[in-house]
Amino acid sequence: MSQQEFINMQHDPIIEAKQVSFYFDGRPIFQDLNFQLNRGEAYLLLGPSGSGKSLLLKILSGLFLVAQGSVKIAGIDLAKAAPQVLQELRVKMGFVFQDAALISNMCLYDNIALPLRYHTSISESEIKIKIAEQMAQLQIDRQSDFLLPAQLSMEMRKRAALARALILEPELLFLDEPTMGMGEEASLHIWQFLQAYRQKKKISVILVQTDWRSALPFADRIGFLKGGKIVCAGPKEQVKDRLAQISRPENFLF
Amino acid sequence: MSIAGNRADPVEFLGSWLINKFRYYSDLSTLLFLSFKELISERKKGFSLIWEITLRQIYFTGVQALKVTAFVSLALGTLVIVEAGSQMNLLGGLKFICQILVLVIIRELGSLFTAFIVIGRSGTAMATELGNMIVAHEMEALRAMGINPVYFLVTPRLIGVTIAVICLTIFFDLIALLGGFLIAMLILPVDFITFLKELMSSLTGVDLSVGFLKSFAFGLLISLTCTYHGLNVRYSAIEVPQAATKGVVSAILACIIFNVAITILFYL
Repeated sequence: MSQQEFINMQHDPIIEAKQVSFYFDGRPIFQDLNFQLNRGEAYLLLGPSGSGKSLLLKILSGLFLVAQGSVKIAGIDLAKAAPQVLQELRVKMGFVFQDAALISNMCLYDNIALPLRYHTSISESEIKIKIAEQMAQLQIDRQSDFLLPAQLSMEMRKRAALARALILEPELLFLDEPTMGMGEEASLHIWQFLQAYRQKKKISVILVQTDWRSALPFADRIGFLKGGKIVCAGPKEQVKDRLAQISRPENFLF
Repeated sequence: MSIAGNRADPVEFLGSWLINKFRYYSDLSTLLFLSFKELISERKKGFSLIWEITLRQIYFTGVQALKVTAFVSLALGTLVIVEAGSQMNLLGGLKFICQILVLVIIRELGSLFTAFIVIGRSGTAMATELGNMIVAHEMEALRAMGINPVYFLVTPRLIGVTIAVICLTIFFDLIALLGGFLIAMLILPVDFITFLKELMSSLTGVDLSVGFLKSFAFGLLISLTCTYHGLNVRYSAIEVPQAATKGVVSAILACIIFNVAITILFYL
């Protein structure tokens, strides 16, 4: 990405979180947190275990609403938006959960088809074509079509979760450990696929990844979450020198 | 607050109990309202999907429960016919038996026994399934996909279970009356045609309406209470069996209370 493209992106935020405070069972998790994701950008969120990375992803996607501060997606304040508006917004968003969160009583094929069957009125034959394309791109074994999530490996579940998140061609993608449970080769394939997909569709991505080295080529900006705040954020080129110092979780302490 | 504190202040205890009960019934009413409101507001979205889930619920709650329902209804029918038959000569003959049958099976126990079977099979299953979905973050996944969880999970269960309970009650009544009589015929000197004629003359529109009203209400109450308790699971798998137990107990109590209320209403 050129310097000019990066500057242009900074003036077009797709997610804007301002002064966000969030309490979980009365315990403060985030206090006065600010965050911005620009259109077309890939943001890698890092932090020690238990720092609330996954929770922040859920807050930024509107799954948890904040009591203080505001979270806006495409200019829409999630706490004030009508349910209908929020639903329309979510159709344009994809979310891959840490544990895949496939619907347990639906087979793999039905899980991927679910958003299409719910939000569109396209025929089953068209759904079949779309799913075949998606599954081929993500190298999902077609013999698993009618297996339940409990019968699949974690790798296959994560691939299916990614296919489900992308099936409606979202503009904004939330990825929580998208390659967790995958081997090195499989992980590399997923990052290559995501990189190509992102460039082709110009989507914005925010991702959480413990194994940050594998995600580094994919990210434009990086942020460190600690003590309920993003303590260090910036373009990859500026922050990556500090990343080199990080080899153990305790080194996340700044 | 200490236990001693609660004991010392029964008014406070009663007050908090009443508030909790009010909250519970208000939550149930809201869930019932939302499930039908979403049916209208979301009707254009995934209708075939919702219809498929509803049919699956009818199959699981209704069709798969036919065997156990047939067995229970046959046993109940036999018991009532044999017991009433043994008093037949003392209390007024076949007409009296048929009136007892209509009262006991069609107006009272047919729908109630069916409700208990459905609670035992489907009520626990619904509460457990929804509770597990919350623990596995599937509910969050549905919301993230823009899928309305009430419309997708509660509405088809409410409709499916209600239809299944109504159909199962009709099946229960038929098997209890006819099947029970066939077994009782072996020990009682009554022929089937005479029995059928007497039964039809004892049966009124009010009896059928009461039976239908009860089975309709039981279907709604079972699905509503069990889905509500399933949806109340928060974080842990330990909460899931607790939710199932609460759902079953609440559904049984709700059905019994409603049964008594309807019976009193129709007798007064």
